[in-house]
Amino acid sequence: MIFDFHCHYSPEFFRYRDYRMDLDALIAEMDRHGVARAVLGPAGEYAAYATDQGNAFVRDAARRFPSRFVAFASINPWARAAGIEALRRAHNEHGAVGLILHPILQGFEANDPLVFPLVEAALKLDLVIYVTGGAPYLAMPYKIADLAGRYPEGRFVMGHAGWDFHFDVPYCLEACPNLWAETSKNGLANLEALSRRFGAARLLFGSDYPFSSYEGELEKIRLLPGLDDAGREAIFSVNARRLLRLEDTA
Amino acid sequence: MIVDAHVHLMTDTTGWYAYKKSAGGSDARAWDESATVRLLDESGIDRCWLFTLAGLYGFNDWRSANDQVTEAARLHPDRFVPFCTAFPNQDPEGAAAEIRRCVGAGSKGVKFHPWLQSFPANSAYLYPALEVCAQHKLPVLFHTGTPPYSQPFQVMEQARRFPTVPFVIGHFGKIMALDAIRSAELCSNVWLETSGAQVADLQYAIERIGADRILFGTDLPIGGAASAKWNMAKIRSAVKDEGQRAAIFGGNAERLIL
Repeated sequence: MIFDFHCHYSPEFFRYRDYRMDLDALIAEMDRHGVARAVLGPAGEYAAYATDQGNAFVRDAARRFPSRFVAFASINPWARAAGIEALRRAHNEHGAVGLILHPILQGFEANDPLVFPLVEAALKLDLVIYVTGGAPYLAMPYKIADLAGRYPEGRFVMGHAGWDFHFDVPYCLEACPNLWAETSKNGLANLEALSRRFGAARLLFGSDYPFSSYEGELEKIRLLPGLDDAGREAIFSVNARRLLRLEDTA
Repeated sequence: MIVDAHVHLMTDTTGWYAYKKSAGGSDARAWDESATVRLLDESGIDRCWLFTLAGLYGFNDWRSANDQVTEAARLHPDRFVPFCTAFPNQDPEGAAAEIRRCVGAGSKGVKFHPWLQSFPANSAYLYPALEVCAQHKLPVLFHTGTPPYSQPFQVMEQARRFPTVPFVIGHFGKIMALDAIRSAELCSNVWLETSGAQVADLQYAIERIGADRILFGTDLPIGGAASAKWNMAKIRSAVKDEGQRAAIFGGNAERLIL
């Protein structure tokens, strides 16, 4: 079974260019590649500022395909109290089990005190917190580790395994046992260094769809050297299900 | 025909090799020219542009590192297209002289790594070296994506000053892919090399500039054959047109080498 920890859906959005997505096509793409389930978050402007609408798109997708999607909510921390209220709604009324923070699109530093009240609200709701990682300067790994380190009771995921800041990522995972690394976009050599250092337990397969492809991202994990079948299974689904406490899903 | 526009000869004298050893990984070993040829075979790559890695570090003898690369290409002329490097910040005229010497020995292009070699890519002290490239129509590939020294727009600055020299933005600008694509859009003598590109970056680039100035690259031996396969999968995902694929996988790179 394959569980995708980082997939996007918004019907139309902008990210350098216009994108159109079709939910049935996404399901077909997942089927084609044997992806059973995906964490879904909004994209483009719906991840940046129009998050209420973006979260509603994700809610509707998860309602239509409850066995295929797990809803995460995007909230811009600059919305402050209203954002916290929106997060509560997303969880209580829409069933979102995670919070996505996107420092680059949302314009804040990952460890800015601005984000603390939102993170604290998310932890009260027992949500997993995914932080898109790897862009200088806002989302560098040490900043995400600084945030995760403040809340050792929380569960944090560093998106893209810190991308090109791979020198820093092992130190961040070492310092923060409550931090996981999601694999999309990052290269084989960097991911291999992490899996050799920490075993497979700290890595979560993600596709970054539609910005990356299932074909490439799955192939990458299948090719990752030094892993046995159990390790690959852990990255592909066991770690994600455990992190999200979805032990019921086969 | 698959041509890889970004491969290093990674010997045991490189800083990167020492880092890889400390970080762990199946690629953390010395890759001499025979091991590199075997790696190309395993990866399904016919030919590559070959750069030094040891020679990008100022503490190594970079002139003899250039000789290693031309020697590797002499032993395997159908597999390696040799590129040389030089340190313009030590001696701008000396760098130009070294490139001239390497052209005499068979070098077909120049590789700069502003981050490792410690200079901003837009520096004026690169001019004498780039004059030599203009005279010999040598393509120049820059590592990019690691500010402040290796920004795509810094490379574009040089491309505007030397309009007859083909400039290749290595790694597609990595996290700075938008600037890399914009540079290619603004300057017709700017090419983009795909190691470090994401599927969405490739799709966007083809929309903006077409496929004729995009070069397949892997950064081997880093990541080994698995990484090569992943880099190929990205191209296949992003590019559905067979003609465009063939151009990116080799046609474009072959066109650049005189």
